[in-house]
Amino acid sequence: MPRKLILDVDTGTDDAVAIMMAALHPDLELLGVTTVNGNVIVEQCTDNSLRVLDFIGRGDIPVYEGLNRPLARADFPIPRAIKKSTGVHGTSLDVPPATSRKQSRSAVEFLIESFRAATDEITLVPTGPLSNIAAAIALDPKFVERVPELVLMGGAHDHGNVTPCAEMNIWADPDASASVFAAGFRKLVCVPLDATHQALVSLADVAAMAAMGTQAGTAAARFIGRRIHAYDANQPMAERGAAPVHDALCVAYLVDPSVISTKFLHVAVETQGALTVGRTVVDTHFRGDGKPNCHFAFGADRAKFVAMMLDTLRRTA
Amino acid sequence: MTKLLLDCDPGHDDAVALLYAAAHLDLCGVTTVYGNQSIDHVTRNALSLCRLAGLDIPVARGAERPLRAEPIHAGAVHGATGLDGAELPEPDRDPVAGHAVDLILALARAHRGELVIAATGTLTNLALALTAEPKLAGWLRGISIMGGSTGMGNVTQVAEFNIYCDPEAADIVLRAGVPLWLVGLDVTRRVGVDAAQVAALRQGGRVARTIGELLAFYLASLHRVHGLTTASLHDPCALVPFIAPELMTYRPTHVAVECASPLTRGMTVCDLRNLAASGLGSIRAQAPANVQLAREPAPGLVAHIMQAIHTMDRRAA
Repeated sequence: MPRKLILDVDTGTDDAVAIMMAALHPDLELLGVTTVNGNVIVEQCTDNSLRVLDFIGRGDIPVYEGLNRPLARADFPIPRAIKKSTGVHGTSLDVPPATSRKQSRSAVEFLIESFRAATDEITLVPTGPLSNIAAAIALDPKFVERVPELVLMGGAHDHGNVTPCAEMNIWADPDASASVFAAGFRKLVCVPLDATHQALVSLADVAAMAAMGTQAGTAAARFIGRRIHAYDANQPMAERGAAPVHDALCVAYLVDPSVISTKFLHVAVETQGALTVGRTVVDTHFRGDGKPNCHFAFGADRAKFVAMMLDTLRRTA
Repeated sequence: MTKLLLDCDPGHDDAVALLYAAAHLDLCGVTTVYGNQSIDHVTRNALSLCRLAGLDIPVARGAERPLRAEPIHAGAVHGATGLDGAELPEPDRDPVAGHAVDLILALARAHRGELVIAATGTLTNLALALTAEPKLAGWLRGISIMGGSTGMGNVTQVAEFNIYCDPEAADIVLRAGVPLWLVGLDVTRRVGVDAAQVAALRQGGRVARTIGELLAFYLASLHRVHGLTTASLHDPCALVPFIAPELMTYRPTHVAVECASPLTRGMTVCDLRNLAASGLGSIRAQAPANVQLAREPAPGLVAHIMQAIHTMDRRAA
């Protein structure tokens, strides 16, 4: 039986690849997509998610729109982070407008109801700011215990991206992030920059995608090609002509956990620091008094990840 | 020969730093600061170490507490005296009259443009001196600090002891505009001696034997408290930029200290992001480098430090 999941996204070029992999991989069953304010404003995230699903022939997967701002901070992450487009995401994804429409129910209602009614295990995979998840936790006292596993993209230990020590998703709604990490989920897997920066996708991989002749290959080639050019221009990796596709690594983990390597540690999220707000504070050497609550990924198997991505994008709905 | 003032809190690894400095540089004076133990203990230890090494130099007693924080000590690692484990010679003199700040200013004034300072304790004395005499920053050729970390801490999840003791002082020093080198825990924990290297020291003359006994105690403490099997020579690393800069690699980096939040207080926030010079015109913007941040120790570093102990052993004989 395929593994069921719900993706909570801020689509975004890397979210788009995560959606395609989740929608097309035979071992996965994507029950729904929820959107949240993040890489771009939430209406754009919703539109982009619908576009991608339609483009690969999976317009049957419902999309629910979520929070249009962080829980508590009016100025995070827009406009603070995104005064000027970085070019990594653009605004609308480069695929035709969607004919499918978003669902009328809100993302948070869908999340609570899906886990309340679930008879099979559903993995929750947030790859954007954690506002929707924190709202669900706040609204439904049983939400946390009903989620068997939460696999999120976010955080950083060695160095951040949006600030020197914080990663965008966690930073974008630090209060929501702190709530999620402290909630006591049965299994919390965190895929941070430390892992995603080891799972780079190259221009050669993009060429292979473009040559596949599938809708997913065509779209992924455009999205990841855009990412690589933006990374080379603004935040070059040690290897030029390559970029992380962060969110897709979470989906790959659902298919094959060995695509990342994790350590079980206590992780908290900083909400008060003047310089450190949004940092994932990882107790790597057991100097704090918190018990391990998170499988934090410090490594990734690039070859395995890219091979799985290419295999999946060759598929059609 | 480079003129050096050593600001320290001996401390087992400070003791090695003092010998390493005396073997290679013109050590003009020693100032002490609370930290590894109380100011009384560390000042007495500094005087004893000078006698052990046959150094006829001024030792000035400095700050007994941080600028704002409550004082903490590291008695668990360094023992009740701060230098437990060996019989040290009784001091043959008192500290010089006046505060450490006075000696720092006097030496910096006397050797304008020449004097360098190595700080192997908390930065209270240097913050006081830089505040008391605004011209000091222009007189110093540089300050090299053992402190901070790019990731893990040793007091808290993210904070290293020397910086955590007095984050406000560290903040003043990092903003002072003096050429700075910072050697953090992530580097110094890879510069350590094991039981065999400690045993070899104990076969030497009086100085080497004493240092061997001190390091045996230190290694046992570190094993008991932190489960370590090597004794990190944190403090001697601060001298490397002045003695043998080629024994480390450095990266120009902006470093600031978090002072606001309890969770990450004392964290050195090192901007290791690789951003293109174009900048992104947003919160991502990178501040100019204020520090040469140590990144990798060279394989020969421990041997180079050990050799200095034997050099001092021969000189004192």
